[in-house]
Amino acid sequence: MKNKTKIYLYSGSLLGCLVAFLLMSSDQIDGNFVANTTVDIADFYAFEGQSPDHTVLVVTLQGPLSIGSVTEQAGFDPEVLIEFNIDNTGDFKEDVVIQAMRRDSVMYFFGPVVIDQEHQGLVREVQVEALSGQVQISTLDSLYISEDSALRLFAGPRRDPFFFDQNRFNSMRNGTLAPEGFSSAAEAQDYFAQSNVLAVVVEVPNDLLGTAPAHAGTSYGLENLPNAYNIWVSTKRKQ
Amino acid sequence: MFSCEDADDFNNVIEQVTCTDGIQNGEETGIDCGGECGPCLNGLDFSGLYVQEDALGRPGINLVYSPNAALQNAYNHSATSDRSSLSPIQGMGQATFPSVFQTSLTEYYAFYQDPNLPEITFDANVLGQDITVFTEFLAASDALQVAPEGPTSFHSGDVWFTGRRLSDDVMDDTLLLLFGGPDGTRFDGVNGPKLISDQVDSGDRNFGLPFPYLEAPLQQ
Repeated sequence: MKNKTKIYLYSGSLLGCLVAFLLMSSDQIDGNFVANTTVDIADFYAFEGQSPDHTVLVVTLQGPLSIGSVTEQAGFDPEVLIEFNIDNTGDFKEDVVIQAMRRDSVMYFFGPVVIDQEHQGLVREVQVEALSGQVQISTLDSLYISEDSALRLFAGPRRDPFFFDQNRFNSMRNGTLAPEGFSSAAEAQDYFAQSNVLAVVVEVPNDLLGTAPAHAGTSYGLENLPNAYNIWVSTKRKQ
Repeated sequence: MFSCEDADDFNNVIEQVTCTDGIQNGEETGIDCGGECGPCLNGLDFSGLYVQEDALGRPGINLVYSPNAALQNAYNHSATSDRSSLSPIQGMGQATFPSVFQTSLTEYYAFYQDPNLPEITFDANVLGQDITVFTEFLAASDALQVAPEGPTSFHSGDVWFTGRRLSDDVMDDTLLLLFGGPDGTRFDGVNGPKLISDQVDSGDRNFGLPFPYLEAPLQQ
């Protein structure tokens, strides 16, 4: 019995810790200084488009947004530069970027544009000479997309695609011990099922991103993987 | 504007509209923009320097493995190429992100430890990575690897890290790498807590839509 109690307590501690870790997973609920700010990145997705020679890049921001007034009042910050960073050499430095920045009710896009070595890193200018498109920011009721250039473009509120049982972990963090771990499938609940996010979506022809390098995982014991770009998103605030 | 006389006998002038002639002509909607030229800036100001405040590659790497707000902030403010074991974290002595991640991972496992039983450790994950290789991989290559040729997914069958689809259950994948052990069944709920899946799927979301692929926002 003593042992059992011990295990129970250890499990409780573990789960409390696990809660903290999972609450912050996927950056959905940021536990750091950017939480609930307009630079806060919720998630990043990258996948093959409907045309197989295109890649779709999706960044979600400021999520999760409750349905109703919270979603209605959320907006892209015109002081924040949203960037997709593409490494096509395997050194994890951005060789090509696609930038998005709001002015009034329009999202302007720059690139894909090459970033030379001396301009790689944490500080950036908007690559105005590489203006490549613009799209009216969508609203709750109106969808605007741009297909005027080589890029397909979208910016605006959408349903949050992220799914995760966060309530389970909130209750555990508040001291409810759950040594058995996660709920059963019947009891698990998706915290994000009724939430929105702000999203920026770019569909880009792969040939504008350069040639993909050897897959990064090959340096860490992974085998038989196709060549792959290394892509991340960042938000940068005007100084 | 560039103009010239052609070589016939009528002295007529041919206008050649270009996107660099400094005037609005042809189909342009502004000076050298719109129409056949690139879009117009419309006098908007995009000047200034912009400094990184948040960054995200793979889902949750920073916040799963960075144990406090100071380290999370340091991670968000670091360049992706400066997160290997060769790059000390600014202002944190000799600590590197892989070393911090190793500590976090070890602490997760320590919570399970029954003092009367042999020590349990990370061992290896389903990718065959030990703790050193795994944490280096997490920190030093924190981006989505995206394959331009062929299918893209975070994890599908035996293939990992060729992209991230909207439908991918990345939380289960993250948990599997952390708690699944070498064969993916460790901490599966049969023996001890169930930690390798949150048991939530995408529910009634529709991931089969055309561009922009995401569903319309929910409304009351």
